[in-house]
Amino acid sequence: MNQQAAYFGLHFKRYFSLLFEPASITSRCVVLICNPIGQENIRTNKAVIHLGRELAGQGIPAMTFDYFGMGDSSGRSEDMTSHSCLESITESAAYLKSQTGIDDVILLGIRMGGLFALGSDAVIRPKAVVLWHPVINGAAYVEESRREHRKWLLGSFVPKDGLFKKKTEMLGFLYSESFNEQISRMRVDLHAMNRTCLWLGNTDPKSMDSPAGENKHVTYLASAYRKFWTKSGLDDAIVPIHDIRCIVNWIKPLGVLTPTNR
Amino acid sequence: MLEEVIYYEERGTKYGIIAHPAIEKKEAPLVVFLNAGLVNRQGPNGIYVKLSRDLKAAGFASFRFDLPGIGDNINDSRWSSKTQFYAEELRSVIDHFRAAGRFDSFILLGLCTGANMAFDYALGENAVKGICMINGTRMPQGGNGGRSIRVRYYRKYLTDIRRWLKFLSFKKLLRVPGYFILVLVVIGGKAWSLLSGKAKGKAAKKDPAAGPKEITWWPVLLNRGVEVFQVVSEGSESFDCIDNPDKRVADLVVSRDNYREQIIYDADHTFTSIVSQKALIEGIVRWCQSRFN
Repeated sequence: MNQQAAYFGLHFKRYFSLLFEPASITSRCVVLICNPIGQENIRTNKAVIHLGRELAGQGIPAMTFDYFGMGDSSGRSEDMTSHSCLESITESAAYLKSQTGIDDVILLGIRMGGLFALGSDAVIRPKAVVLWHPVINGAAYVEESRREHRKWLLGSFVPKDGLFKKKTEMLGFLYSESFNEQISRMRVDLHAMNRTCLWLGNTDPKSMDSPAGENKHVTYLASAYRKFWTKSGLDDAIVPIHDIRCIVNWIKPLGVLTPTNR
Repeated sequence: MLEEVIYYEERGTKYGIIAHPAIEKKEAPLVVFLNAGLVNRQGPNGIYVKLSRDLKAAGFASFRFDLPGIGDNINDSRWSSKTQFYAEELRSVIDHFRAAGRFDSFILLGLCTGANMAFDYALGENAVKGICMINGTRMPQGGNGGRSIRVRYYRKYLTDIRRWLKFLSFKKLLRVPGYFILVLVVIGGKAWSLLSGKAKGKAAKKDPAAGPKEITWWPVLLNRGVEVFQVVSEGSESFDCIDNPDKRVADLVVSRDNYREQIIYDADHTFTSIVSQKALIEGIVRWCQSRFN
């Protein structure tokens, strides 16, 4: 297994990527991991690295990347837009294909990454989609993030008037109001999904008030963890290894190389 | 955007990200970021990334990487003594840049455990010309750690009705009955120790005045000419070391020319608010410019 870090993209819009290359590729699929944003991005970093390594250990190449404005990629969080996030995924998918020579991509989205993965579905046309604790409703996500920030603020040394007014500050990261509005308009809609999809989380899509629940392409697996991307609970793990194994075991048969497709 | 991935090990498995200015200053040191606790090389709230870009704009190159077992660096199976292996990893980084002829001098910058590591490593490495310690002071602590934070917090917000309402709502107590019992036990225990005078003894035991080991290290570092910048936030346990320093610290350290310190008020330990991040970054950039230009 080799871990290859690199920058790609144009001079003013460069993305940081981390490719997990198996010692020998035994899959005809590659997995593109779409991270959450903000504080959740930092909290899930360890899980993402372990996931990438587990996939590569099974012969499946995988890659993670930072959205424009997040992590080590260029740009600032306040410059992010939903379009820039979707563009980051599309560019990363193209880069991953060029690096591995494999065209079948599986999109794996965590939290907001799940919504972004679904948003780029039409452009990338992935072989399958994995949604790991996806954000179901963008508006609810923004509201929850604001609530968490207010809660933190009340117990902190930071006075309320010490905050930025025009842009929205959420637990250490600054976003533009327009980005929050764009996120608020996003929502999981599996109704039109005609690809194989794994939903790993605590909310069964069948229980959602949406036609998505009727979609036979969607497999639901219950996650063993509640909120591993926050530090609010005592039962939260930094590396949710049971979920990671579930994902790897689900993805593995999708890309099995047989004598005919090898 | 001048950021690139640098592999610093011969086998080519370990890497970090260097951010360098368009025109590198001759003789300017490389700022090396050290992980804060278990947070990856972005730093808490991504402040290492933000700081590296502002340093770049000010003409300073910086390098951020992950120590063994943290972030991307889990290729390593060495787990037995992390302090020693952290130091070895840092040595690999410094040796790499020296061997490549790119940098001869270094500034180590870290938050919390990273700050302490910066101090410890600088003691034995002549190439380190400066250290920036954020919320990790390697100094005897005045006050009583966590308790003094609480005292500062309640003193600050004594007249804030919202916070009193939050405190009096007992939400957490009502949600978790076990927590309620635990709180009763803790309060009872504290009351008992206060009444019986045990608290005083405990505080005295915590006072590092009994072990002046670190105090003796400071002159070693400062006599060598290493520039030191201490930054503490109001919401950190380190605050008391700077705000109310031990007398020996004041005599041996604070009066020195190559020692600077800054207190950032209205900030928590990891600088979550954007205003405090800006104050931190501006302070560090200003220090680099004034001491290394």
